[in-house]
Order: sequence, then structure tokens, then C-alpha cells
Amino acid sequence: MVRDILLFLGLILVVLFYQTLGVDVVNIGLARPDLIIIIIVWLTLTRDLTWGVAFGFGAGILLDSQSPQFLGLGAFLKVFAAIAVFLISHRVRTESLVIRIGLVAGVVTAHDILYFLVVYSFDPHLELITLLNMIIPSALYTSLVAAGVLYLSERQLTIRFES
Amino acid sequence: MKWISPFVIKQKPFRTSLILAGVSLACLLLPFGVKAFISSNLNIVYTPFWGISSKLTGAFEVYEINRQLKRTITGQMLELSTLRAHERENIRLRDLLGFKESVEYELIPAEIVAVDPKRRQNAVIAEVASDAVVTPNLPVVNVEGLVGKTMSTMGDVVTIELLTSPDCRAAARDANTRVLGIVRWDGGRHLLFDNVELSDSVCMGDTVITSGLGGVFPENLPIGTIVSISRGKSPFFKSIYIRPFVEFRALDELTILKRSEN
Repeated sequence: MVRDILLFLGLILVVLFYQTLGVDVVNIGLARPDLIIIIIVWLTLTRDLTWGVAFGFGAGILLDSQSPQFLGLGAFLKVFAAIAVFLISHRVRTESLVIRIGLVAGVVTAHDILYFLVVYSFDPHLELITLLNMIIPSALYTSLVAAGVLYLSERQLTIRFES
Repeated sequence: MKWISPFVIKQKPFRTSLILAGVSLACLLLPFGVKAFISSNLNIVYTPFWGISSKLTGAFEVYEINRQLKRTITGQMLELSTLRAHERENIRLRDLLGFKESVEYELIPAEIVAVDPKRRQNAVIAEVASDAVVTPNLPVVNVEGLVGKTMSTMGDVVTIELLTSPDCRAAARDANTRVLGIVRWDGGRHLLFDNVELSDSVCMGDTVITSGLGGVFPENLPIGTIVSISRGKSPFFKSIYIRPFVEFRALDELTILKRSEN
């Protein structure tokens, strides 16, 4: 239990470090790897849904505090992302690295599309520009980073189909 | 969608998920004032990280500056070694031609302590070491170039007449074309490079240095850069203005040049 709490806090610390120190360093133009989504996917697949949801909510609400107007939006979408990953993992064989990377890319894209839809008050023009300039490049970049992260954690990635 | 329902109903994680999703939505629907209050409190978590971030950024900037300075120093070391080689060559050639030895100067540091209240634009009062012997009409420079000359002394306090004084003139020359003239201030922002004949060749951007022919200032002290050349009112001379290298309104440490006794 203590180890679990420490791991959770450690991951939150990683996110805080990344948001304050790392994100500006690793940005390529408007594309930025979404580390939180990678961790949510990893936790949901390797641990269980509670981990993914709790982390998504914690990290999401911390991130939302940077833009108070949309407090809760990021947390909601990240919780939703964890649920989606969990449900997909029960329907698709996610042991394959390619599937996992595709899963990350899909989740990042869906998350960002929904987030910016609300932020831009459902303006399709702005949404399209953001999709082309930011969301898709970010999804590709995140997939690349996820490939490395998930490959490293491959040994732990065993999906419990029978649960 | 039938496959979803067993999860939602039976599994505890799903209930947790729904609760957290509900809390998130509730946050989103809160009035802005409440959201701002919650956000400002949550932002406290970021404070130490922003502190570390700013320190790291500062350290990175120092590292970058250090790298640039090292590159500059390396370049200047090379330049210095070239100049030393030229100096040795110059000495050899001067010996061969039987030229007089160049004059050595003693450097006396002076620190500005006041401006002359009667001549605010034209003179400053500086302090030198108590054992320094300073006489009137000694050239005064700083790291940028020629500043002026000493006017009077009283103990370790020296009044320095600036180049922007109407009474201060310096024999000068164009460093590129070697054309001679006199630099003086005529009331404007820039200094006038006077007595340059219409037929003389000077170019915009040329550096003007002291010629050493006036008897007060030694040669080769940088004065400024030519910023305007026009025919002027005189039928014989060009009207040339130079922007001085020295920032006369921001003077601080100065150096008085005194001919070495040896």
C-alpha cells in the first residue's frame, strides 16, 4: 500500500517536473508529447483502471489549475481516457507494441479534440487549424515517446483478460 | 454496448471512475470565482517547481554566456598573439629604420566622485590615489576611448575636462585614410571632425583616432566613428560629425595617462 502511494506521488512529481521544466525543452514547434496520457495508458494496462483514473484525475486537475476557466475539463477527459483504454484493452489484444502505440495516439487525439472543442466553444474552424497544426503532430510525437516508454515496461505489460 | 454493462455494474474501479468523472464535471460547472480560488490553491503545488525551473533556466543562461565568453576569449587570445607578433615585427622594423622609441605611459586610475556644478556637461571631478602625481593637460581615457584631459588638481582630486567641452580640442585623424583634422564639440549630440579639406578622402563609418600631433593626447586613442559627411558652410572644409565611442553621460572609472619618467 505504501509502495503504491509512493509510486502514485512519484508519478505526480514526474508530471509536475515535466510541466514546469521538461515541456519547453522537448517541444518541437507546437507538437508536445503528452506524458500524462502515456502514464494513464501505462497504468491502466499494467495495473488497473483505478490507477489510471486516479492518476488521470490528479494530474488533470493539477494541469487544469493553470487555466482556471476550464478547471475539471482536463481531469474529466483524462478519467474518460483511462476508462476508454480499460474498455479497449478488454476487446483488443494490446500486447502488441504497435497496437499500444496506436492506442496512445488515438487517446491523445481524441482527448485533445474534445478538449479544444470545449475551449474553442465548438468553433469548427479553430478546431480544424488546431487539429492540423497541433493535435496530430502532438499525437505522432507522443506515439514515438510512448513507443520507448512502453517498450521499456514491456515485461510488466500483461493484460488480465480473465478479470 | 452490452459488454460494457457488466463492468459498470460489477466492478468497483468503474464506480470510482464514475465518481471522479462526476467530480471533474462538477468542477467544470462551478462558478468562475470558485474555480479561480481552487486553482490558486492548487497552484501552490507548482511553486517549488517554478522555483527550480527558474534556477535551472538561470544556470543554463549562465552556462550559455560562459560558453560565448570562452569563445570570445579564445578569439581574442589568437588576436592578441597576432598583435604581439606584429608588435615584435614593428619593433624590429623601427630599429632597422632608426625610428624614435615610442613613448611609454603610466596608467593612473581615477574614479569620478562628482560633476563640476558649474560645468555639468563639460567637466567631472575624479579622485586618484594619494601618491599619484597628476598635472594639468594629461590625457584621460576609459575602456571605450578618449574622454578628455586633466584641467586642474588639488591634492588627490582632479578636475577633468571632457571632450564635450567647447574648450577641449583633440588633434585627430581618420584611421583608414590617415586624413588629419581636429575633433571638437560644437553643441550637438556628436563631435565635429573639423579642418578636413573638401578634397580629403574620408568615409562614413571610418574610425577617428588621435593623431598625437597636438602635444597633449598620444596617438591612436579611439575617439569615435564618422556618422555624417556634408559639404557644410565653409568653402574649404567638409562638415564631418563623429559619434564618440565614450558615453559621456555614463562615465565611471577613468584612467589618466602620464608619460613615464623612464
